[in-house]
Amino acid sequence: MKSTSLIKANHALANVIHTDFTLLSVIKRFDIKLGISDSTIREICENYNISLAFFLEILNAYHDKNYFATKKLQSFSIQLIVNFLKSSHHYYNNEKILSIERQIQKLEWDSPDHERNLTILKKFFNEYKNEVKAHTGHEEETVYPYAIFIEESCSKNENIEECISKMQNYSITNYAKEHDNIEEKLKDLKNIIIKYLPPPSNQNILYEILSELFLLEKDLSDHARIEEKILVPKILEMEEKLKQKI
Amino acid sequence: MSKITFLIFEKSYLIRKGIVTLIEEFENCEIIFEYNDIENIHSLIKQHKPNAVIINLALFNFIPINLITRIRNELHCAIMAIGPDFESLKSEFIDEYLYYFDDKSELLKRLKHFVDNLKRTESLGKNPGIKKTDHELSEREKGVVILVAKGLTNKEIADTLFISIHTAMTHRKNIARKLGIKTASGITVYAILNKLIDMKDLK
Ligand SMILES: [Fe+2]
Ligand SMILES: [Fe+2]
Repeated sequence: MKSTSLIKANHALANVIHTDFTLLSVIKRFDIKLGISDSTIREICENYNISLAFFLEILNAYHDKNYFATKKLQSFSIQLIVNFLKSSHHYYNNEKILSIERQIQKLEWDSPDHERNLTILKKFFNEYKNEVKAHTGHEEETVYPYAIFIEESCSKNENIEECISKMQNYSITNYAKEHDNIEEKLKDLKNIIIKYLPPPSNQNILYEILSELFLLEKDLSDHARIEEKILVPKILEMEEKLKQKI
Repeated sequence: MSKITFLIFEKSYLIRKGIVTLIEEFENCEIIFEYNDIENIHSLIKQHKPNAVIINLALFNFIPINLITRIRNELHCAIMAIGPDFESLKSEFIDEYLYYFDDKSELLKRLKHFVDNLKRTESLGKNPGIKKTDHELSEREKGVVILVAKGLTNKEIADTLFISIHTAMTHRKNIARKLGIKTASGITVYAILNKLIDMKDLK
């Protein structure tokens, strides 16, 4: 398997993990337990009752940043995408970011600057934590419910009027335009640590934090790509369909 | 060894990204900015002082000759052109060409030749004992860092320093490029760590 080639249903998941270990965090979000021997992706999806098309779409989107959703009719629902995106939000807000925050609190310097360094880092990271919370919160309260409402109305062919009036207020195009990048501060933090922070006495922790930041950044940018390249086009298509119904 | 730096002027996004990919194969080379037109080309080169510009022939042909000679002779900037492979399009002011239909190995060969020449002139023109610290902030930029850390917006910074908002934004861009820090909060951390500002000055 070439490093950026397409991941397919008949591939053994174990091999896929060996090729790109960053997929582990995604696989984990589907609650798949390890000990998978040589099971193919198709077999695992059947076992766990996961939509094969959806799982492949997510794996590929995380694996290859140039991957675009296939144009063929996608057989999974918006609800599935939203559930996955939400579980990713949970993973960022309640696992990753908290664990990085705890690591930061452990840093120590043998110099009078200890207090200053720690305070400013904590302050910065706290701002970042709130930024991510606000971003994901807005999506869960406004964007995702809107997406689900559009899908339901579209598939059941009801509430057309309401959809149209909602669209005039806020459509998925607004979201696509406003969707900002929450990795910027993360990039800054990486450079602050790599280039400017005086070395603490427990260097190992700083190295761990840095690796975590790289992984989180990749995960966040893949996540944003799923929102922009999979969720948005699907809703856009449905909005068009709804508009034609009136 | 200091980096060889480039500015790219090319309308087509596809071609621009192709050039970026090729340059990335070379060590110690950095693309400072990409532009899709040649507006302000002279002042951009003056400001960023690249070793070379890579420019589409179609754009190049719009630059007045006197400007080209100034770019080459006063700003010591080499020129590489991209375009279709026509003998007749050659110009005495262009140091090297990349052609649309060259295959990858040919493109790399031409680029390598170009880059090697740049490295040679670069090392000749410099005192070998002194490292070029392109990443050090100027006094003016340090001043801007302090104001950003104090929470001022670009507009407020412009008013405080009696500069235009455009200049203030250029400072911000250069600070971001030099430090690798873009956000105001990140710049604040930098300012504290480097004692440009005290914790108690934060709002
Ligand atoms: Fe999200
Ligand atoms: Fe998002």
